[in-house]
Amino acid sequence: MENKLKRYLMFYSAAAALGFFAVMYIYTGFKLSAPLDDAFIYFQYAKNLAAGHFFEYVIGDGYSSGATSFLYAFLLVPFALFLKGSSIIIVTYFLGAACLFYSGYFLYKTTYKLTSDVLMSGFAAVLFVTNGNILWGYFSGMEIGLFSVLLSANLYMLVSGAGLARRILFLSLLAMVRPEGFIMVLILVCMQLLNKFSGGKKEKILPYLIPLAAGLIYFFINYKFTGDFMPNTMRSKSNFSLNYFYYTDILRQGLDYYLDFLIRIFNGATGHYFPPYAYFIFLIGLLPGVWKEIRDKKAGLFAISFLWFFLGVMSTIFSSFATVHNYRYSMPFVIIFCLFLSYGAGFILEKAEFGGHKNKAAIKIAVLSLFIIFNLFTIWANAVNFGRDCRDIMSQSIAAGKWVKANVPAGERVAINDAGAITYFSDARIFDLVGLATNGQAKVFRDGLGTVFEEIEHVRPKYWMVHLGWFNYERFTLFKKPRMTTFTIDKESPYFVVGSPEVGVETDFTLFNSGDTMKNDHTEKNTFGQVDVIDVADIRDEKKHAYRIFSKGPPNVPGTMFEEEFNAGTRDKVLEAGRITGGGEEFTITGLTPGADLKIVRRVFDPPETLQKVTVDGAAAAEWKSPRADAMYHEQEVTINGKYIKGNTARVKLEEKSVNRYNSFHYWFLQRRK
Amino acid sequence: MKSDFFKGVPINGIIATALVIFIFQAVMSMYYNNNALMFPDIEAFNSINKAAAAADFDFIKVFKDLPSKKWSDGFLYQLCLSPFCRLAGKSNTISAVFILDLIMFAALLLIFYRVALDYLGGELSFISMLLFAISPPVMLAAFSGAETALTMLLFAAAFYHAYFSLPRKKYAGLLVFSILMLFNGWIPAAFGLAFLIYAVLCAGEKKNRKHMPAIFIWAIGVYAVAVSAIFIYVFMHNLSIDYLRNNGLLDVKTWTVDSLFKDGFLWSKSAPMFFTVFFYIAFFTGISGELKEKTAGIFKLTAFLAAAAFLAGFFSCFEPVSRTYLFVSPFYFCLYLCAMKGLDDFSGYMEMKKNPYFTARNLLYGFVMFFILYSVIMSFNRTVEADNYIQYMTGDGSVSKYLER
Repeated sequence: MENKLKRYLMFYSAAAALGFFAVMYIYTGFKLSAPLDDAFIYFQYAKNLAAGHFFEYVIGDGYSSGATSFLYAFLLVPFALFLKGSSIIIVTYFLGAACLFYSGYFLYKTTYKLTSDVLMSGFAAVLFVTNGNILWGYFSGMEIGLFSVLLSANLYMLVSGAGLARRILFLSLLAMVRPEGFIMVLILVCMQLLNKFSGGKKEKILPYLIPLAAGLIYFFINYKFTGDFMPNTMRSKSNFSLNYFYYTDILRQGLDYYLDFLIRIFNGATGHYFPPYAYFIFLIGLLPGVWKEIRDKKAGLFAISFLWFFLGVMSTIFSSFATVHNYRYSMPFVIIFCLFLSYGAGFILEKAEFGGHKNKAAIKIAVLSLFIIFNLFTIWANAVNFGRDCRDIMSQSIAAGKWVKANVPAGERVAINDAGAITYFSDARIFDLVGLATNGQAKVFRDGLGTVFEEIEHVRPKYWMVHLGWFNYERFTLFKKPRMTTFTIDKESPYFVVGSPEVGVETDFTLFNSGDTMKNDHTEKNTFGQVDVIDVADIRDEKKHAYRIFSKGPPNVPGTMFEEEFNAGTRDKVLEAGRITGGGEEFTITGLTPGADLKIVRRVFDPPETLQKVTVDGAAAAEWKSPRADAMYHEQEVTINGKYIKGNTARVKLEEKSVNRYNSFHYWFLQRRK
Repeated sequence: MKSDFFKGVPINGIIATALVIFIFQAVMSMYYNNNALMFPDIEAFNSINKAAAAADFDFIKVFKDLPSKKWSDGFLYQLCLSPFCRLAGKSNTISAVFILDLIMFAALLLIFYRVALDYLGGELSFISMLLFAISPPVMLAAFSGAETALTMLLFAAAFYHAYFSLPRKKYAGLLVFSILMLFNGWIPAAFGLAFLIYAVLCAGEKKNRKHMPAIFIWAIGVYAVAVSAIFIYVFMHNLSIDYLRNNGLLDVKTWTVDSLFKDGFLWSKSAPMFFTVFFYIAFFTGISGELKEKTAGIFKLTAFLAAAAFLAGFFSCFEPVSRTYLFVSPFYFCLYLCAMKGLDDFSGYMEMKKNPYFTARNLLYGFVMFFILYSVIMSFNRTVEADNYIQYMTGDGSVSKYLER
């Protein structure tokens, strides 16, 4: 039976790969494409790895951590050696088919170990491999299939009593496939430790340090080259990487979404992944086994699967990208869901007497067929979505990349979002505004459009290729008009793989650094001279001055602003970013002369009436009262008595006392000349 | 009965449970209010202000001048609160009410445990009490500072007497607590009315046994109409387009069933996933049994209470600012009792003796473990969500006097 299943699985996997390839080929007008841009990020890394540049996204720019899956990038390297351009996409279908085969195979083997029932084991495998969403993911060119097959292989190792060496090998691969995989290995190692100390059983722990070490390699390499353990992809997407947040509110948002996600996707509320109440059957299949293992004080397949599924899905939820791309981040955990959905269904069907019906087997098959019929429709739905996504990526991302190659002079810096296809097809010197492929930019991106602009003032890209839905600078004197080119799609893509017009523009440098200087005279006939300056919302400058902004308390967080407007009184036009808060700010200023009066000048926009307590090195130094003013830039000032300036540096704190929120765009610090 | 009440009751465990939840609620409240205790609902301060006025014997203020929301405008709670307000003083009122809430919550859990001990058996009673205690609506209501904390206690006491005393034809306890509920607000009055109707049904059980099913159906129909009239008065006091536009009701883009039930249809959003399924297993099994035997049993009472809770949840959608835990939470007393019974029955039914995994115990405790974890997450989320409103409380003139030091 197993050999028969293997043959069927092989044939099915090949047919599925061929089918989805054909769908892609037809929708794109017989060209090669992928259903999402992120696949091209891996292709780019693989291409440059094959050329001897270790994880350099843009050759010459050094290491970047834009590939979340360390393992997958390496897997593509041999193919990137001899497959150029779009042809590498063909390889991903072979890889996807192989992963599909092995996923189904390990799922069958694991279910058989649990049930010794050929029908239910076959059902488990078929349930998974015929889910259209899984096919979308496995042929997307991403690491989804690889992650999934490693999860199922490791679950099989758990029940089959496989040799230690093989278990360690597969765990090591799992730890390197994605950070979530590393978390899964950590969970398993913790369970082994628990088994050892609670059950009094002989468990080898030391060998399990090997897969942990394997997983840590990626984090240490990141740290060595970028100064940050986490990959850029996590920094730009994780809710815990926001610059200002409160843990309670982030947890609440994420956990609310998590519970809703379980209902919508796994309980079939939207009829997307599974039929309604699938989740209840899954729980029936999983929970009794978990309790048994808890009672027996030995964590095994059930307890580990419970933790892998629930914590694994939870680890993907705290991200601003959790819902996009057909929920691809949680997709690998579907394999665990299918295992216990089948187990639960098998139990229910076994329990149901069917009135002692003679053809119990036939009735069982009839009931199980309902799931498979549902799956057939998911294949249809996802094949259509897959084709449309490939077409839209072709129309936008790939077309944009080829346009950049043809129209942007080599060596010029191009600011982009959706870093995949544009870079892969143009090899341009890109500046990734989202921060996946450009180190340090993720933190800037999370702060908003204004902070990104402040960074752009340093980088000075001459060209842009961006989705306006993400970086709409068109209403500012930043994008030169008219646009150089526009790539549009008729409708929003399925699973939000692309969208909005993608525009190619030149940079208008007219108002660059327009906010750097005071527009009004605060020197009091040159009796005051400038000693320091802080460009608020410029992350580099803020870091230099140990700048900190805070709110009055949870749940309020500071915000950012970005305005192009005239300066009151002088008619200078200013384009600048700033921050807004109801709490206050703190920063360190340098270059001071002890004993000399200090004047703080602040640029604000459309300010309300405010009253701030000014503290210098912990001492209350002044009260800064400012009136309401109109919707233009204004420069406010306050003077601090020189007796509070005791050294060359001073830590200044501003605290808002009214109920209003105040904003700040720039600070200048002047001291009275002696 | 006094000594019977505490027999087999793990008082330390129950008090510890109440304390842990109290500490969690207090810490979260302080986190959102710069280390000072605070209630996130204006209804709490409406009651506190009335209690303070009652303490000064200014009853015109209590009944006329001071504002209150119709879904929380009784006077029993305010009268009970007034001596505490007077003793504590303005600056300590909030802390005093938190302590009072803790005491009422511990008493509520004690009563729940006592009923569960008899209804579900020793093994399930503590777990059921724990699940009840950590459920979001109960936790939030218990420490809301509003009169729902007292309503839950009165409800529990009435239910206790309905369960233990009425079968012995002792009506005093039930009558007292039901009547007290009538003075604690419109929605508690609806619950109180349910208990009173149940008492009448029990009293006439022997005489009307033959026609009990018909009487029950008529009674619940009349009750539903009466209660609907009450809730229309409470929640639908203004149906002008301007008001509906301003209160956000007309902003609902796509109407679904959930738009009409803040807690989800049949409380699906306020209890752990699938938990209410087990309530229905026990409820429909129980009520069909009672209808067959033509008795006035506890499930008939549950039917009245469920009808009130269901209708309150529905009508409250016409007042988007109303928060259901402030008036529906007493019903969770029966919901959790019945749901645990349903889970127990389900596990027993689904048991497969030959399979070491699918024993009744594994099924039961597997689901209990899931419900506990789910409830912990939900309760944390709902607490954070509620405490996000604290920022709006501190600016309110009727609240700030209690924050001054």
